[in-house]
Amino acid sequence: MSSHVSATTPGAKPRKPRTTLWRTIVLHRYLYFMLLPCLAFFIIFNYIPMGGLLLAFKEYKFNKGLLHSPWVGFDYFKQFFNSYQSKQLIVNTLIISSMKLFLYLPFPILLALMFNEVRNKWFKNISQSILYLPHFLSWVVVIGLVQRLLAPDTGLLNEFFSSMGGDGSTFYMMDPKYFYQIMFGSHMWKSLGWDSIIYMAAIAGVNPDMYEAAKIDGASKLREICSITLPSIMPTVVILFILSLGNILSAGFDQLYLLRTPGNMQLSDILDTYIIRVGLQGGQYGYATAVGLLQGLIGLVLVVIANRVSRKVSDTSLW
Amino acid sequence: MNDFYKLSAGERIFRVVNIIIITFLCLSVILPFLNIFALAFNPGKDAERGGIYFLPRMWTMENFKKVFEASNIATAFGVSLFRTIVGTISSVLLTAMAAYALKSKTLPGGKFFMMIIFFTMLFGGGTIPFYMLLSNLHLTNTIWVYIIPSLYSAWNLIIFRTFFQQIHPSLEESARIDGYNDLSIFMRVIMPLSRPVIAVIGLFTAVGHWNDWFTGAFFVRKASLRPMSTLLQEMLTSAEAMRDTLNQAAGSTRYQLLDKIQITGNSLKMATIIVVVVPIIIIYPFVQRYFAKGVMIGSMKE
Amino acid sequence: MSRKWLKVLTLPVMVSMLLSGCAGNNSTNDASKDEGSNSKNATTNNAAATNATASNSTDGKPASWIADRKLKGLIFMDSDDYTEDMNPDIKAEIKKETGIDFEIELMKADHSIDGLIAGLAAGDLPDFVAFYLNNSGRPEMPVVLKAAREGMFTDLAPLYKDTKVFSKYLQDGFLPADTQYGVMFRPEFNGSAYFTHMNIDRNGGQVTWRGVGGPYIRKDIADALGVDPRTITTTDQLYDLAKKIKAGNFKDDNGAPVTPIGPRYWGGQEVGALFDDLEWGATDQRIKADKDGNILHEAETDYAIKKVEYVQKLLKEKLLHPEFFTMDESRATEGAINGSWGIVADMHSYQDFEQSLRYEPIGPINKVDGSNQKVLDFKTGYSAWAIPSTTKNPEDIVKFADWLASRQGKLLWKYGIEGRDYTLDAKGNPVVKQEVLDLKAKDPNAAKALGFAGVGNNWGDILGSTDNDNLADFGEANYGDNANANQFPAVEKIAEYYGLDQKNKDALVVDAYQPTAFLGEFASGTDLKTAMDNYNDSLVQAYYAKDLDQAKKILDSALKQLKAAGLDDYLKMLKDKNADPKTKVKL
Repeated sequence: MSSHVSATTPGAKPRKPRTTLWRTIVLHRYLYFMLLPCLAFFIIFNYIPMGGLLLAFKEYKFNKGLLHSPWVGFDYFKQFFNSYQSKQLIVNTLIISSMKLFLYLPFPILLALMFNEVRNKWFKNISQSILYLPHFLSWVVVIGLVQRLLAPDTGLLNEFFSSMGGDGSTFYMMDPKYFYQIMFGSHMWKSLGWDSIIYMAAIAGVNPDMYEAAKIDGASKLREICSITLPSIMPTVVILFILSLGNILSAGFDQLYLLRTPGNMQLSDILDTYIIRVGLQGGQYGYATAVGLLQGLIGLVLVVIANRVSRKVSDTSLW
Repeated sequence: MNDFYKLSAGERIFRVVNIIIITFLCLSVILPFLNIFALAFNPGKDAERGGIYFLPRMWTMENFKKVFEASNIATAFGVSLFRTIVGTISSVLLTAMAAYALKSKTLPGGKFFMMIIFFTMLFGGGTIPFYMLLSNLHLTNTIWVYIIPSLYSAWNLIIFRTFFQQIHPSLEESARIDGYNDLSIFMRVIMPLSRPVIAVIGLFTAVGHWNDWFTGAFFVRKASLRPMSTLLQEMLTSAEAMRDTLNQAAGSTRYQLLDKIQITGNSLKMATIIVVVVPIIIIYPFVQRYFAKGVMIGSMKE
Repeated sequence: MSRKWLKVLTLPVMVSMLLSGCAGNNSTNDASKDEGSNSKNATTNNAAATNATASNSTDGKPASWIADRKLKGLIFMDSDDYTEDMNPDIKAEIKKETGIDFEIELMKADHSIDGLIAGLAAGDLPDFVAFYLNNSGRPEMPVVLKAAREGMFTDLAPLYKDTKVFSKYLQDGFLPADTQYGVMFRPEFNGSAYFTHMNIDRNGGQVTWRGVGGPYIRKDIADALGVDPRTITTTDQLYDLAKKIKAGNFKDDNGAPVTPIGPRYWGGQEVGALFDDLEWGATDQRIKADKDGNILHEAETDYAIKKVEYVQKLLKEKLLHPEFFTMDESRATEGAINGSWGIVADMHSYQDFEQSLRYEPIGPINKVDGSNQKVLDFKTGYSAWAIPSTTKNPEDIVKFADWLASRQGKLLWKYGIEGRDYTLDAKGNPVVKQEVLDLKAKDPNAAKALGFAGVGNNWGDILGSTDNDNLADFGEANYGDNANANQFPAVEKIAEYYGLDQKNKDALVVDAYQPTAFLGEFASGTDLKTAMDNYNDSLVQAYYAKDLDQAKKILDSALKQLKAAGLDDYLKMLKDKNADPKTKVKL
């Protein structure tokens, strides 16, 4: 990508090997100046509280504090894996978050591409403004709307089916058969417009000259999208995808907590809801921290792998 | 639309289908929102009779009057506005600066710093250690608890960096030849060229500030320092949370306790949602301009 | 976390603040200033406290004077009853009588108990904290108990001694068993008490609330069918009644057909009172002893499958609303108000929409043992407060609570200010002013600003609501009765119709623990609690299962989980507890 930058940066011409590093640092002094507060910030606001992760191995006592509370080793991890629910929880979490990661991925990109093809400015502005509105509703409100829409007998969907002569009494929220559709549909409705914004910004950055050139070559719209737009926004897509992999073991607490009914609970119980439930009961902070640590570790492994693959294949990477 | 007829048949169908799909998506959003609107403008008692879909049965501003009469709404609005403006400007500027520094492939330690920053997206110590930190820094119960702990965001930083990496290096080179240092290159070359990404990250940050209710609920105790989003969240969930608690308690006292929960009427909730959402709706078109194609003519790498 | 370490780290923060401009600059200054003024405050506070004790003997202070100081409380309860803004007149009155400058802050967030834990961990709590706690089986209990064991709270027992009201807590037989041995004076504390459990009635088994709660039927429907709802005492009769309602083709206010049995007024949930002869124990407990004294969980009895069979039958014949167990509150309320349900599963006679007597109470349905004797708790408590060990002069808070719990205090926080909000009659009892009642009816929010319990502002509850006997203290059971306000015309009519007085007289008064109260001390308590919740969910799942076989499978697996989580050992433990007179269990 910008591999030739180094050659043009003044500090990169080595003269005396011993002082090279120091010279490079001095030459980049402005960059360090710009970076330093950022590093300080992350150390203070992220790394110091990370001391709290010790809780995963300790039994927290108020009067002893974090450092002096007694160690319990891997007890909480053992407790989690011995729990009859752990397998189910992990499977459910993986299914739901994979749907949101992989299945959902193309939709915001598609929407951004579609917006890009709208020529009528007025229509474009209004429709964009409308589509990102659901982002501002909290899940409580969204699920409330979903429940009304899908209510047996009185819900809009059931009324529609019964007016068509079908059975209008399906209890969608209680039936595990419909759980994934409802989960995915409500997620899509709430996030689609908002998530497409970042891709629209990426598309806005594509050099228009390239489209002009393509037009002269007589390329079709589809070709234009496949060979100009998509490759241009690929780095953004890849980076966003890698970032979201880190969260593979958290599938969205609020939505799932509210969608959970006795009927669909074999599918809708996930790690996040479990942590809150268990963490709250008896203030088992150590246990909740241990499960949270596991989530982070698995995310880390996946991101490192994805980052390595991506660096080899597309020259785009986080570090 | 003049050039519409010059297009091939395939492209014409493509455009029409495109518009139909977008319209359909918009309808799926508008209809529920009309319902929220109708409930917000309908008298609460009357709404309890049900049957209100897309238009109020009778119009009233009563719900909005009540929302604005609620004790803290004006201060809460001020808090939200302050944190959104100050928080967004400082955060976008600082994050972009750090992202520009990390963009450089020659910066010694750059990769390591990047990993340090990315790592924070995966692991956190939890609410309690964070609370203890904020309390030790004397940030709890001050307005700065909204600004300082969210000055940088790893996610935003990575997006900034990804966009900066695509700016053509020749622009920086020529600036350097003109005698600019890294800081002035950032301010005078990079920032002006990055308007779409600044607009996007600015929008994300602003909306994040506007929507964040958690900080106001957990790290602030003074009622006068709570933002709108916290008030709305309390309104939406607190009565239900209390009812969940009470439902587990048996006996005749339960009814007396249930009576004590004065649930905020649906109409009032809907009115509050509208009060929270409208300012952001108004801002969006101004931000949107920067997504328009061609802002960065010739500046991106081919 | 060590402070030195933090100071070193503040340096980069200050650099970053400098960078972010003058805005950041101000905040660093504020922070350092705060630190300085904090320590100064502490000393002045102490000085003020000593001054107050010194000046106590001097004239000009009322007998109720405590100390010239600020008292700040943090309340972890989700309720609209409490507001942080105190009425200035009321505040001035408190100051005048006691010298206390009283202030409360609320943490209303979901899971606000997390806020308590964080505050405890950071040593950052105000003078006192209050939280929801109705019995020792509550989820809050392990948290506060842990804090107490680890020395985070002040021992209150010695402080009760010199008080008028709270000294009753030290007398035998005043507190209910659970409050005494489960919450406050736990054996492990050797006579110390770290939480004050509130809302204990002065006399056991007294019923001051005149309402009737439970399932109600629309009066016009009962009349049209010629049914006396009081004669419906079994679920079989209920089934027949529901069928008749269905056959009667009744309509609601919007002209839509009526659903025979609708959910509770407050939203869908299993309602014990409706299926009582199929319920094994209370719906939140599901543990009960059979005739031979064996303690069983509902999952181990055939009532589970019988209930499933019954509910499936109701659902299949469309007699029970399909969303009976899950409907959200606003729609459930909508249905009750519009008359969309022939039978409302649970409501009560104080509710606004019932004041026109549109509904009348059913049954009650008999319990599994065939009786319908009412069971009353000897006394119950809910909500509690504690004083963090960091608070200076904790005795001031106990004295202040004692004052609030006295007649003088209660008069202030229940009735407001004499002359402004009420007048005193010849016997010295408060008569609420009509204009206050009118304001309350017309604009509840404006009334609430007057700042006392009668108008819905319950700040006094937190520290002062205990040793309650409104009738003895103020000559009326409910706020406004002396003024003959007749705010709830339906209440007495329903009470008479239902035979409330007789039922209360015949009631069995029990002073015992809830069966689930010991989960906290049970080794695999968390697992068992999860399994019990799972059973509740499985039950609903079974109601909606395709057929009875599938339902049986669901219930079997739920029972297996209960057993795996140690149900048998827990029930054995309950048996032992029940044998101990200090820990009688409600079975």
